[in-house]
Amino acid sequence: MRHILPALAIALLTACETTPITPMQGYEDMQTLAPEESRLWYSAAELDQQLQKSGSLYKDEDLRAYLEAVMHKLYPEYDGAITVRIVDSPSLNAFALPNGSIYINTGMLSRLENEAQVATVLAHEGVHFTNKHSWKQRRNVKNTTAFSTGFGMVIGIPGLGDLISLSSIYGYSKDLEREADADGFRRLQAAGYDVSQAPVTFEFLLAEVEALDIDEPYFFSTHPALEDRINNFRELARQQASVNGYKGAEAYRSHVDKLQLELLADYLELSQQQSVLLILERQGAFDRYPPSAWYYLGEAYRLRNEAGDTERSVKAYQTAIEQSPGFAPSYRALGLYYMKNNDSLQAENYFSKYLELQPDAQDRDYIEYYRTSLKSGE
Amino acid sequence: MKITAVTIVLVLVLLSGCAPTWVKVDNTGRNYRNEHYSITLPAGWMRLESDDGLILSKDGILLQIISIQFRPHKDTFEKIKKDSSATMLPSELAQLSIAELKASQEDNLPSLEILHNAPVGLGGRTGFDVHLRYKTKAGLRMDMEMRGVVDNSGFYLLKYSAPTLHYFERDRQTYEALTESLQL
Repeated sequence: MRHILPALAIALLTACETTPITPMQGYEDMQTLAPEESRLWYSAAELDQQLQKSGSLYKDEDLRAYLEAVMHKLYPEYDGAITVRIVDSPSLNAFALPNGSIYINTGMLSRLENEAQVATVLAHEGVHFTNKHSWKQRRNVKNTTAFSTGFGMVIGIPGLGDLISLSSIYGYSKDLEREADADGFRRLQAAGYDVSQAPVTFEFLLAEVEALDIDEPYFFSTHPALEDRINNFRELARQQASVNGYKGAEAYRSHVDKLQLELLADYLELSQQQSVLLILERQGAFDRYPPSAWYYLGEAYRLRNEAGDTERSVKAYQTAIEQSPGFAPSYRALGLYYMKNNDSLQAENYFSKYLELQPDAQDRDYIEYYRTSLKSGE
Repeated sequence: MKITAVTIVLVLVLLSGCAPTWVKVDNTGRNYRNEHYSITLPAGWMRLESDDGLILSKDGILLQIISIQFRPHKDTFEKIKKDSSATMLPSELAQLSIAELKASQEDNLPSLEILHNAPVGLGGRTGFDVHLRYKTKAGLRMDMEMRGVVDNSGFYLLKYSAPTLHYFERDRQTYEALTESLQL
């Protein structure tokens, strides 16, 4: 039945193509929906629930409140009715549902450098909602099967494919994306953000996409393509006399510190060391990351294991210890390094320091086993 | 028409016994040996030999499954594109094995919970023992235990998984006895 309902709704929606679709002007307009739009909203609410139940949302209410505050700065006339939720997925993505639910992935948040950049993404997605792009796009959709295929993979949560055929978030037209860029840019400017950050948001993402040789992340995969979008924003920024708006690097960093480190750990857990290297080898990365990130850089070198990586990893662990002496994993990493190089004394020193700092370490049994082996000379 | 003919041929091939088949382990066939290892199989269980290794189950693979795999050091962990080596530490092997598992079960990633991760004696060497829990897409809670070890030839992995409720603990001792009988 669940599979039939979307098809029925699509049929109903496509049969009512005469209603003019005009952008909303504010919160009041959210209270008066056309019947077709109400159905879209209902389906979007169902998708919201599915996402909640899937366990795929990142739980950090402070960060979420901060992002909603940014959204409120951008869209004050909506009185906070546009919600922002965070998807716990390393893929680079953000998307809007027709009912004003905006989703942004942890992978995307971890790459951004300041509030102006996250505002660029949120402003763009907000336009998709306020200008009813889902509904407009729905009328133009010719192949709803292709439309829904692979949605779960696209947003980074597999297995949520069905309802998306109603929510019209897959593949906006070139014109709608341009509209979202331009209107989003105006929102940025009106909210007082440094608009020079808008193209930067996409530039380093493009660099990562090219380096990893992956398909363009979904947020950018529709028209215009990523490079076109960068050019759009450069041109929009160039037309502004002043770009000295609010950047908000400190404010942003204070909210995403924890998430950034967790994501580095996630990438390493999945042996995706290349992503960690791309993030941490970027110029100025350690201005944005806490010193313990040196440990993750060391781990990424160790896992990559190319010529010279062992030396690089040791240096990174040592830097982590110098700059963040209370961070236990760096000691373990050096203990393992010295054990492999038959330096029992150094290995024991680092292992004992590790367990002293983290007596309840999850890998304590391994470390104790290694220490015993070192003592017995095995 | 062409499809029908192909289907008939496939069915005939399957019926003629060219495909791997399940065989019941009886008391005389418990000692299993190949070029890499030997192991004592549990009597009364069904076994299936495939290119990917040996598979065992008592009541059907949805209720419990044990797999025994040997992989050479090159391209050992296919999903995460990593090799193993004879000098790898047990904790490093455990880390890669968990990463490989996560990479192959992407949809269960958020619910994967590691309950135990420690060194264990396996095949006369020291390997790893990881016990983890996850929920399938259908919402079924599953437990999995995997033990692995390396030697000069390659990587040996013994995995046991079953629904958390009732089945996992019921057959866990059988799995443990199996792993203890491994000889490299």
